[in-house]
Amino acid sequence: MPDIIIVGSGAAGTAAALALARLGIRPIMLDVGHSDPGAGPKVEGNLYDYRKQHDTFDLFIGAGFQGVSDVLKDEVGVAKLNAPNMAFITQDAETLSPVETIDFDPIQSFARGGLGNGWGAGLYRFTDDDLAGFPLHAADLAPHFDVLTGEIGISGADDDLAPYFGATAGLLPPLKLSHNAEKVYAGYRRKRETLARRGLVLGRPRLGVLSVAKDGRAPCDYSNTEFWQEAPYLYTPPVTLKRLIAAGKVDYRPGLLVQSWTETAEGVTVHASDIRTGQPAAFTGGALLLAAGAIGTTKIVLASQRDYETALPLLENPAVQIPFVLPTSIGRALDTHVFGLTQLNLIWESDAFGCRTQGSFLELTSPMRAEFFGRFPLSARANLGLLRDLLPAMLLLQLFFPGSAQPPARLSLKEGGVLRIAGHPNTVEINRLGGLLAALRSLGLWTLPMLIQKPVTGHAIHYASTLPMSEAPARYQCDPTGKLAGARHVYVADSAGFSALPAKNMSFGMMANAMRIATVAAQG
Amino acid sequence: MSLIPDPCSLCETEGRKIYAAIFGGEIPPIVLDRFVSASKRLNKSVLQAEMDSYYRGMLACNDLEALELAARYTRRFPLLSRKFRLMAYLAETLPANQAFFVNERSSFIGGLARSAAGAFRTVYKILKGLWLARRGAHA
Repeated sequence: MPDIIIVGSGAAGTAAALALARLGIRPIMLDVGHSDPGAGPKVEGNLYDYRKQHDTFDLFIGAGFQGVSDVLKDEVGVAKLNAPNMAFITQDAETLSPVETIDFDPIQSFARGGLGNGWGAGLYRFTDDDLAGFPLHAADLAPHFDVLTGEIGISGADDDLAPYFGATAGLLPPLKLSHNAEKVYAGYRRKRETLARRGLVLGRPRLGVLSVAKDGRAPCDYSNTEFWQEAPYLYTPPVTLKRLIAAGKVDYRPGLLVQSWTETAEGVTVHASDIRTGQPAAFTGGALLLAAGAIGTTKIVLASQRDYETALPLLENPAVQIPFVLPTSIGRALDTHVFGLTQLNLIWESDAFGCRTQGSFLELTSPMRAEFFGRFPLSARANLGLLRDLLPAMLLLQLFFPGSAQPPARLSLKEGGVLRIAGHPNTVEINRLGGLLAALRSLGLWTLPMLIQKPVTGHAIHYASTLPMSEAPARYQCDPTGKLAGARHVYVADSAGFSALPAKNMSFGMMANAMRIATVAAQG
Repeated sequence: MSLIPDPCSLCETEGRKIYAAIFGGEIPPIVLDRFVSASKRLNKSVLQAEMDSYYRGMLACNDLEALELAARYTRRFPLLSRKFRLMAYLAETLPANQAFFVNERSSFIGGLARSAAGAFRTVYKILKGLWLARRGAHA
């Protein structure tokens, strides 16, 4: 069989490689592949024990002050991606893929493992509800979800969210809840029928975080370090990629920036350049799987067509961040031995918005405390007191809406290779959240509308649907197998091919779909 | 042309005043060094006129906590709030400062009392800050 070429090593590319490896096929994977985790120190043990003993400037901020770059540049960024040990994730993105933007701040990665290096590891099966508008069903993805569940090690529970999150087979036990999350969940269990009538369901998250040891990886140690460095218990795509490379099951070629492809009767030739020398390179194979991320993949498609006019739709999940206080926890000592990311999930069937939303309750223990200093409304010294007394009583709800909740951005390519993305400001109307806030108040969660934040469009980092799958694909669409219309050997394996973007975190669905498409491509 | 000969030379004074406003004490030398370096970087992104105005106000004011609070709500001195945030990040990295940021002993009553005191302090400081800003504008 001629070679299969995969472009990109993120969640989709790695899942596609995994599917091919299971079929005995060794793909070529072309990737820029930055992998230097930086010179920051690595925390041994619990973050808060470490903070008492060590100057954490090099861990949190770094000699180049990248950890405070948002303050220095007066920008709103993504704090985790500024951490010195995480800076490689977005390294060189602005030069390798320059973008002109209006009302959209795209986050791109050229790292080995892509943006998955910095994800929160929320991994949720797509159900038929989530796949409304797709030319496929949950059953088409189910075998791939099963394989991935075994590969990754996903913690979760068979609870009220199971109908929304899909099969529970193979799940590891859920992680330990924080004190605040336990209080909220206990309240929910007492009021679940009432809350269900208000469209609200709570439960444990599905996380690629080990609650028990697996395949030589240690379980979560509740060290709060996952925000600042690679954590062995938190799955990222490089875990699988490293294993496949070590086993000789992927021909991994880093240092290459793919620009375009040309097709022949027999196959496809991929044109790339060496990122150090600029020298061109070409690779020929029987099929091409594009998995460079929705933005990167679309750029390659437009460049291959030399199309500098078409503006394609780009969806993202609009989101809001709602800080909640549990008044009875005010003055508590900080819960320093917890998992520092998602504690609970909610589904809110919103009449006010006419759609299903999904939210994650996060503990606020992993980021620097100073991250919240400027977000409190009191004087500087009083805010310092709130960091001590109020922050340990808080949970942050990140609530995501489906991509259809706001008009799509438009993505086009200019001659010279610069992308242009014209988006829209985050259009979520906070005053329509009243039903949700009232329901959560009954669980002891209090907030003020003035404290609700709307992230900049682009910062949900869930991009999709530029080249959507369709039963009858038009130009710049894919057929149900992921094959690009008009192409014979080119498949879109990442979220660019999504027909819609549900509110649910798309990573797991994208990975299973990439496996499905890779399997089809392997069959020619 | 700047009315302030070299704003960067004022960064040490600025660092000491901001640290005292937030934490109420002498700034540790290593935090001061880092603040000066970071502040110089930050200043490069600021227009000269804004920087002149900022440094004049900062040097003349004897209650930066009040001025910053009023400035935050009136959006008059965004640079001052950025410098406060910068100082908070830098100060948090020192082990000796952990007690400012992390509560290790639970006390519901104490937490409520401190939060209430913070709210009263804020009311006082914002009134004072507005007065300071008004006086500065007329100076």
